[in-house]
Amino acid sequence: MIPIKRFPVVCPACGSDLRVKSLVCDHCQTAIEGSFDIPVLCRLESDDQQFLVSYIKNNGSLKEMSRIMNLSYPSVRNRLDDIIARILKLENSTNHES
Amino acid sequence: MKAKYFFNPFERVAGWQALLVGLVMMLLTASLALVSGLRFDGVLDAHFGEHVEWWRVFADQGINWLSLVVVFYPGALLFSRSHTRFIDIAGTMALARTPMLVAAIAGLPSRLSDFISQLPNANGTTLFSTPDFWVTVVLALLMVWGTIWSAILIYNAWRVSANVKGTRAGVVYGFGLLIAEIGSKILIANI
Repeated sequence: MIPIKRFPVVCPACGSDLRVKSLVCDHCQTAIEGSFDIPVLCRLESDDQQFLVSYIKNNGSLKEMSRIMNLSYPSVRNRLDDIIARILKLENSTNHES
Repeated sequence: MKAKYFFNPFERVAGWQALLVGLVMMLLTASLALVSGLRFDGVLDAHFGEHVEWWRVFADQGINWLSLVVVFYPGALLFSRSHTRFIDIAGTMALARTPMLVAAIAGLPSRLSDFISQLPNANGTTLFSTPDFWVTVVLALLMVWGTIWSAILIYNAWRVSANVKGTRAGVVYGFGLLIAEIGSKILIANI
Protein backbone atom coordinates (compact mmCIF):
# COMPACT_ATOMS: atom_id res chain seq x y z
CA MET A 1 0.00 0.00 0.00
CA ILE A 2 1.40 3.39 -1.01
CA PRO A 3 1.56 5.74 1.98
CA ILE A 4 -0.45 8.96 1.62
CA LYS A 5 1.91 11.92 1.52
CA ARG A 6 0.88 14.85 3.68
CA PHE A 7 0.66 18.16 1.84
CA PRO A 8 3.53 20.19 3.33
CA VAL A 9 2.64 23.75 4.34
CA VAL A 10 5.61 24.57 6.58
CA CYS A 11 9.29 24.55 5.66
CA PRO A 12 10.94 21.55 7.37
CA ALA A 13 14.21 23.51 7.62
CA CYS A 14 13.16 26.84 9.14
CA GLY A 15 9.45 26.47 9.95
CA SER A 16 8.31 29.32 7.68
CA ASP A 17 5.14 29.03 5.58
CA LEU A 18 5.68 27.41 2.20
CA ARG A 19 4.32 28.79 -1.11
CA VAL A 20 3.44 26.94 -4.30
CA LYS A 21 6.06 27.50 -7.01
CA SER A 22 4.90 25.16 -9.71
CA LEU A 23 1.67 23.44 -10.82
CA VAL A 24 1.54 20.68 -13.42
CA CYS A 25 -1.36 19.29 -15.45
CA ASP A 26 -1.17 15.53 -15.10
CA HIS A 27 -3.03 15.09 -18.43
CA CYS A 28 -0.97 17.24 -20.86
CA GLN A 29 2.07 17.99 -18.68
CA THR A 30 1.59 21.79 -18.95
CA ALA A 31 3.51 23.42 -16.12
CA ILE A 32 2.75 26.79 -14.56
CA GLU A 33 5.39 28.48 -12.49
CA GLY A 34 5.01 31.40 -10.13
CA SER A 35 4.55 32.07 -6.44
CA PHE A 36 1.12 31.14 -5.20
CA ASP A 37 -0.35 31.31 -1.69
CA ILE A 38 -1.54 28.08 -0.14
CA PRO A 39 -5.23 28.60 0.75
CA VAL A 40 -5.98 28.80 4.48
CA LEU A 41 -8.11 25.65 4.46
CA CYS A 42 -5.23 23.66 2.91
CA ARG A 43 -2.96 24.83 5.72
CA LEU A 44 -5.11 23.17 8.37
CA GLU A 45 -4.18 19.76 9.76
CA SER A 46 -5.63 16.91 7.70
CA ASP A 47 -7.90 15.91 10.65
CA ASP A 48 -9.36 19.41 10.67
CA GLN A 49 -9.83 19.34 6.89
CA GLN A 50 -11.65 16.00 7.11
CA PHE A 51 -13.85 17.38 9.90
CA LEU A 52 -14.78 20.43 7.80
CA VAL A 53 -15.53 18.32 4.71
CA SER A 54 -17.76 16.05 6.77
CA TYR A 55 -19.42 19.08 8.41
CA ILE A 56 -20.25 20.65 5.03
CA LYS A 57 -21.49 17.31 3.62
CA ASN A 58 -23.84 17.09 6.61
CA ASN A 59 -25.39 20.49 5.83
CA GLY A 60 -23.51 22.16 8.67
CA SER A 61 -25.43 20.19 11.27
CA LEU A 62 -23.49 19.80 14.52
CA LYS A 63 -26.17 17.40 15.77
CA GLU A 64 -25.62 15.13 12.78
CA MET A 65 -21.84 15.40 13.26
CA SER A 66 -22.17 14.44 16.91
CA ARG A 67 -24.20 11.37 15.87
CA ILE A 68 -21.65 10.33 13.24
CA MET A 69 -18.61 10.94 15.46
CA ASN A 70 -20.27 9.44 18.53
CA LEU A 71 -19.39 12.55 20.52
CA SER A 72 -21.54 14.94 22.52
CA TYR A 73 -22.86 18.13 20.90
CA PRO A 74 -20.60 20.48 22.91
CA SER A 75 -17.52 18.35 22.09
CA VAL A 76 -18.23 18.69 18.36
CA ARG A 77 -19.00 22.41 18.71
CA ASN A 78 -15.73 22.86 20.66
CA ARG A 79 -13.85 21.12 17.85
CA LEU A 80 -15.40 23.51 15.32
CA ASP A 81 -14.62 26.52 17.55
CA ASP A 82 -11.00 25.38 17.81
CA ILE A 83 -10.75 25.07 14.00
CA ILE A 84 -12.27 28.55 13.60
CA ALA A 85 -9.65 29.89 16.04
CA ARG A 86 -6.87 28.21 14.02
CA ILE A 87 -8.25 29.67 10.75
CA LEU A 88 -8.31 33.17 12.27
CA LYS A 89 -4.76 32.72 13.51
CA LEU A 90 -3.61 31.58 10.06
CA GLU A 91 -5.39 34.52 8.40
CA ASN A 92 -3.77 36.94 10.85
CA SER A 93 -0.31 35.51 10.25
CA THR A 94 -0.88 35.75 6.45
CA ASN A 95 -2.01 39.39 6.78
CA HIS A 96 1.07 40.24 8.86
CA GLU A 97 3.40 38.67 6.31
CA SER A 98 1.77 40.54 3.40
CA MET B 1 -14.87 2.04 29.00
CA LYS B 2 -11.72 4.15 28.80
CA ALA B 3 -10.49 5.67 32.05
CA LYS B 4 -10.80 9.20 30.66
CA TYR B 5 -14.57 8.79 30.32
CA PHE B 6 -14.67 7.94 34.01
CA PHE B 7 -13.61 11.51 34.75
CA ASN B 8 -14.94 13.15 31.61
CA PRO B 9 -18.02 11.39 30.21
CA PHE B 10 -19.12 14.71 28.72
CA GLU B 11 -17.12 14.17 25.55
CA ARG B 12 -19.72 11.51 24.78
CA VAL B 13 -22.79 12.53 26.78
CA ALA B 14 -24.28 16.00 27.28
CA GLY B 15 -27.56 17.86 26.84
CA TRP B 16 -30.90 16.12 27.44
CA GLN B 17 -29.35 12.67 27.65
CA ALA B 18 -27.02 13.75 30.48
CA LEU B 19 -29.88 15.58 32.20
CA LEU B 20 -32.11 12.50 32.18
CA VAL B 21 -29.38 10.20 33.54
CA GLY B 22 -28.34 12.83 36.09
CA LEU B 23 -31.89 13.33 37.38
CA VAL B 24 -32.41 9.57 37.79
CA MET B 25 -29.09 9.33 39.69
CA MET B 26 -30.10 12.26 41.92
CA LEU B 27 -33.42 10.57 42.73
CA LEU B 28 -31.56 7.35 43.59
CA THR B 29 -29.05 9.28 45.72
CA ALA B 30 -31.85 11.05 47.60
CA SER B 31 -33.71 7.75 48.15
CA LEU B 32 -30.61 6.13 49.67
CA ALA B 33 -29.87 9.25 51.72
CA LEU B 34 -33.40 9.08 53.09
CA VAL B 35 -32.73 5.53 54.36
CA SER B 36 -29.31 6.28 55.86
CA GLY B 37 -30.08 9.70 57.35
CA LEU B 38 -27.39 11.28 55.19
CA ARG B 39 -27.89 14.86 54.05
CA PHE B 40 -26.23 16.46 51.06
CA ASP B 41 -26.45 19.92 52.59
CA GLY B 42 -24.23 21.68 50.07
CA VAL B 43 -22.85 21.15 46.57
CA LEU B 44 -19.92 19.11 47.91
CA ASP B 45 -21.25 18.16 51.35
CA ALA B 46 -22.45 14.91 52.84
CA HIS B 47 -23.23 14.82 56.56
CA PHE B 48 -25.10 12.55 58.92
CA GLY B 49 -27.63 14.42 60.95
CA GLU B 50 -31.07 14.25 62.39
CA HIS B 51 -33.75 12.61 60.26
CA VAL B 52 -35.75 15.28 58.46
CA GLU B 53 -38.88 15.30 56.30
CA TRP B 54 -38.45 13.25 53.12
CA TRP B 55 -38.98 16.20 50.81
CA ARG B 56 -36.03 18.08 52.32
CA VAL B 57 -33.70 15.23 51.36
CA PHE B 58 -34.96 15.40 47.76
CA ALA B 59 -34.88 19.21 47.79
CA ASP B 60 -31.17 19.03 48.77
CA GLN B 61 -30.42 17.36 45.44
CA GLY B 62 -32.40 19.88 43.42
CA ILE B 63 -30.88 22.88 45.21
CA ASN B 64 -27.32 21.56 44.84
CA TRP B 65 -27.79 20.93 41.13
CA LEU B 66 -29.54 24.26 40.46
CA SER B 67 -26.89 26.16 42.44
CA LEU B 68 -24.27 24.82 40.04
CA VAL B 69 -26.40 25.65 36.99
CA VAL B 70 -27.25 29.22 38.04
CA VAL B 71 -23.58 29.94 38.74
CA PHE B 72 -21.88 28.23 35.80
CA TYR B 73 -24.33 29.21 33.03
CA PRO B 74 -23.82 32.98 33.58
CA GLY B 75 -20.12 32.11 34.00
CA ALA B 76 -20.17 30.58 30.53
CA LEU B 77 -21.98 33.61 29.07
CA LEU B 78 -19.38 35.92 30.61
CA PHE B 79 -16.16 33.99 30.16
CA SER B 80 -16.63 31.69 27.16
CA ARG B 81 -16.08 32.73 23.57
CA SER B 82 -18.26 29.84 22.39
CA HIS B 83 -22.02 29.69 22.18
CA THR B 84 -22.92 27.70 25.31
CA ARG B 85 -26.30 25.97 25.40
CA PHE B 86 -28.19 26.11 28.70
CA ILE B 87 -29.20 22.46 28.32
CA ASP B 88 -25.53 21.42 28.15
CA ILE B 89 -24.70 23.15 31.44
CA ALA B 90 -27.90 21.82 33.05
CA GLY B 91 -27.37 18.28 31.74
CA THR B 92 -23.66 17.91 32.43
CA MET B 93 -23.99 19.44 35.91
CA ALA B 94 -26.76 16.94 36.69
CA LEU B 95 -24.60 14.04 35.51
CA ALA B 96 -21.62 15.44 37.46
CA ARG B 97 -23.57 14.76 40.67
CA THR B 98 -23.67 11.01 39.98
CA PRO B 99 -20.64 10.21 42.23
CA MET B 100 -22.71 11.37 45.20
CA LEU B 101 -24.51 8.06 44.72
CA VAL B 102 -21.24 6.39 45.84
CA ALA B 103 -21.30 8.55 48.97
CA ALA B 104 -24.95 7.63 49.55
CA ILE B 105 -24.19 3.90 49.16
CA ALA B 106 -21.19 4.21 51.52
CA GLY B 107 -23.48 5.88 54.04
CA LEU B 108 -26.03 3.06 53.99
CA PRO B 109 -24.46 0.68 56.53
CA SER B 110 -25.42 1.98 59.96
CA ARG B 111 -21.85 1.41 61.17
CA LEU B 112 -20.65 4.72 59.78
CA SER B 113 -23.41 6.87 61.25
CA ASP B 114 -23.23 4.93 64.56
CA PHE B 115 -19.47 5.46 64.72
CA ILE B 116 -19.80 9.19 64.03
CA SER B 117 -22.58 9.55 66.62
CA GLN B 118 -20.30 7.92 69.25
CA LEU B 119 -17.41 10.29 68.54
CA PRO B 120 -18.37 13.15 70.91
CA ASN B 121 -18.45 10.85 73.98
CA ALA B 122 -15.75 8.49 72.81
CA ASN B 123 -12.84 7.15 74.74
CA GLY B 124 -10.16 7.22 72.03
CA THR B 125 -8.44 3.91 72.73
CA THR B 126 -11.61 1.82 73.00
CA LEU B 127 -13.37 3.37 70.02
CA PHE B 128 -10.45 3.09 67.64
CA SER B 129 -9.65 -0.48 68.61
CA THR B 130 -13.15 -1.77 67.74
CA PRO B 131 -13.40 -4.13 64.74
CA ASP B 132 -15.77 -1.63 63.12
CA PHE B 133 -13.09 1.03 63.03
CA TRP B 134 -11.44 -0.02 59.75
CA VAL B 135 -14.77 -0.71 58.06
CA THR B 136 -15.80 2.78 59.08
CA VAL B 137 -12.56 4.23 57.70
CA VAL B 138 -13.13 2.51 54.32
CA LEU B 139 -16.75 3.75 54.14
CA ALA B 140 -15.69 7.28 55.09
CA LEU B 141 -12.95 7.23 52.43
CA LEU B 142 -15.52 6.06 49.87
CA MET B 143 -17.69 9.07 50.76
CA VAL B 144 -14.73 11.41 50.41
CA TRP B 145 -13.81 9.77 47.08
CA GLY B 146 -17.37 10.28 45.79
CA THR B 147 -17.15 13.97 46.69
CA ILE B 148 -13.73 14.43 45.01
CA TRP B 149 -14.91 12.54 41.91
CA SER B 150 -17.96 14.81 41.72
CA ALA B 151 -15.71 17.91 41.98
CA ILE B 152 -13.60 16.62 39.07
CA LEU B 153 -16.75 15.94 37.02
CA ILE B 154 -18.11 19.43 37.73
CA TYR B 155 -14.85 20.90 36.41
CA ASN B 156 -15.01 18.82 33.23
CA ALA B 157 -18.73 19.55 32.80
CA TRP B 158 -17.93 23.27 32.90
CA ARG B 159 -14.85 22.94 30.64
CA VAL B 160 -16.62 20.91 27.94
CA SER B 161 -19.99 22.72 28.02
CA ALA B 162 -18.47 26.20 27.81
CA ASN B 163 -15.30 25.34 25.84
CA VAL B 164 -13.00 27.06 28.32
CA LYS B 165 -9.39 26.08 28.81
CA GLY B 166 -6.34 26.73 30.95
CA THR B 167 -6.15 29.30 33.72
CA ARG B 168 -9.50 30.90 32.80
CA ALA B 169 -11.27 27.53 33.18
CA GLY B 170 -9.57 26.83 36.53
CA VAL B 171 -10.11 30.25 38.10
CA VAL B 172 -13.78 30.55 37.10
CA TYR B 173 -14.35 26.98 38.26
CA GLY B 174 -12.79 27.71 41.67
CA PHE B 175 -14.83 30.84 42.26
CA GLY B 176 -17.97 29.31 40.75
CA LEU B 177 -17.80 26.25 42.95
CA LEU B 178 -17.26 28.40 46.04
CA ILE B 179 -20.27 30.59 45.21
CA ALA B 180 -22.44 27.53 44.43
CA GLU B 181 -21.34 25.86 47.68
CA ILE B 182 -22.14 28.93 49.81
CA GLY B 183 -25.42 29.58 47.96
CA SER B 184 -26.60 25.98 48.27
CA LYS B 185 -25.77 25.84 51.99
CA ILE B 186 -27.71 29.06 52.65
CA LEU B 187 -30.72 27.86 50.63
CA ILE B 188 -30.76 24.41 52.23
CA ALA B 189 -30.48 25.89 55.72
CA ASN B 190 -33.44 28.17 55.04
CA ILE B 191 -35.97 25.86 53.40
